[in-house]
Amino acid sequence: MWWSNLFANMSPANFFNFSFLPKYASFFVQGVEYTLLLSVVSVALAVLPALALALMRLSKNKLIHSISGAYIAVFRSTPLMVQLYIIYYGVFGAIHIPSYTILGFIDVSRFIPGVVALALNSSAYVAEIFRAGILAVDKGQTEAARSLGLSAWQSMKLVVLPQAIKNILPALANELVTMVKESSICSVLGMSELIWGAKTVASTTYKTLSPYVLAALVYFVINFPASKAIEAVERRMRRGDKA
Amino acid sequence: MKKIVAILLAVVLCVGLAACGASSAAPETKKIVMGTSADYPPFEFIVLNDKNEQQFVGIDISVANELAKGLGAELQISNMDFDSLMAALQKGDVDIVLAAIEATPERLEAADFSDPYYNPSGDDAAMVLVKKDNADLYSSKEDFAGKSVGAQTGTTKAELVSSDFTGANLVALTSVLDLVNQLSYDKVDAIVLDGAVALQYAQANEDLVVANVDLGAALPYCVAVQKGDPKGLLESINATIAQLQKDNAIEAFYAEADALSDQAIE
Repeated sequence: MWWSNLFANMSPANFFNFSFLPKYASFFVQGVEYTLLLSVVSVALAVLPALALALMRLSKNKLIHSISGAYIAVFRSTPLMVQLYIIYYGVFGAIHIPSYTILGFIDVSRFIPGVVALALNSSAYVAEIFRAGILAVDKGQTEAARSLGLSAWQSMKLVVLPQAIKNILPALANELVTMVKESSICSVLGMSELIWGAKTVASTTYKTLSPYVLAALVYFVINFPASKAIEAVERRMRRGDKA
Repeated sequence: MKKIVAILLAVVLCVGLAACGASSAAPETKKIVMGTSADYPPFEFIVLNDKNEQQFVGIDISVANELAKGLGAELQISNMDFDSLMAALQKGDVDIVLAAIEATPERLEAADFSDPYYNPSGDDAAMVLVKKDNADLYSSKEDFAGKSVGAQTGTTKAELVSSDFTGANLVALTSVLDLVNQLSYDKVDAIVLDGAVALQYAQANEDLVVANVDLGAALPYCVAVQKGDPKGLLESINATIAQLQKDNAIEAFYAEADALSDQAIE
């Protein structure tokens, strides 16, 4: 069988030759920490700009509406890798961040451009999540709030947004799961996240594929339980809904 | 809602403050930043030291340490893909680049180069790595006509394949690892690497051998600095290189790097 060779022949190019463990485990531990920090901070930073973008997108003012639309279009329709290069070499070519290490292995002069690029990209996607969440709240809610004398902003803030949160939170958590995987692109600029760790172990030990397989397993172990937890929360939140 | 906004604001603020705190605490000592692509044993690679910390080692790292000493500065290493190195140097992210770089005419237009610090011997000339079972098929560059030949993007090896391997199809990839994988899984017929690197892979992987094809000598390896040398580094660098050559230090660095690479595979 074609697959029997996968397990029988333990050459350095084998998928399951994990003989670099336990010696090189630290690369994967630090990689996971870097990846999680990168994705959590990016999505957290994306939330407020995304809310602003979503509200702008729902605005009746044509100019405000189209500024937000253009931002979302650009960031959703171009590759993250190119955005990363432009932010890292372009924007942060003008803004110099001194090299300084936090937590012993995170170089902020690389980390900050990475976070900014991921956050800018993510805010475009999160804005769409917010917009969909707000639009999903029945129009009658706004009409009722307005007829009770609330201003447009008050009815958005006090009536619509609190109900929209329920639609938004699961999608936002899914965005985080996506970001954990997407942040692997930062390895091309030497940010020492999980894929970078796998690449480094592979080049040092000449085990050219198996470190990536291990990295994939680690991503799965993080993301699968996270997705299941999100589903559970979603079910719990739907319990209040009337069928 | 208010609470959630407040929490989010707090998170954003903390991150912002952490970033500001970090940048204002930058040390004042003179630093020299070296750009390299640490996936290239024995020239530059990453190993775990006795304390289980990641450490850059290799011939180029040892040389850079001496250069930093000569400049009276602390060496800092910035690791990235090989094809990003010249961009980082032009941008000023790094002061010097050591990555087994040959000073080709194309590169001389983008950067200035020091005197050679490493003169490739027969073992360092570009070599062709092939599958052991097919090794008999290849005895000259012409034998690769109609075959796929891999080389690293932006290297002299990639140029060599496109100019000298008549009829061969060049597969240019960023990472040496991906090239070796392509060869191991028969996606390319051969890959061209620096000799020292090809020999290491042939030694580590018994399915791969160096084909008996002569590709001619490699150019000497030099230290790249920004075009025009705005920071005035070259004089000190060349003086240090001359001293290293006189002391035969490079051979010692090579032996050291070889030993570390062997240890790393165990």
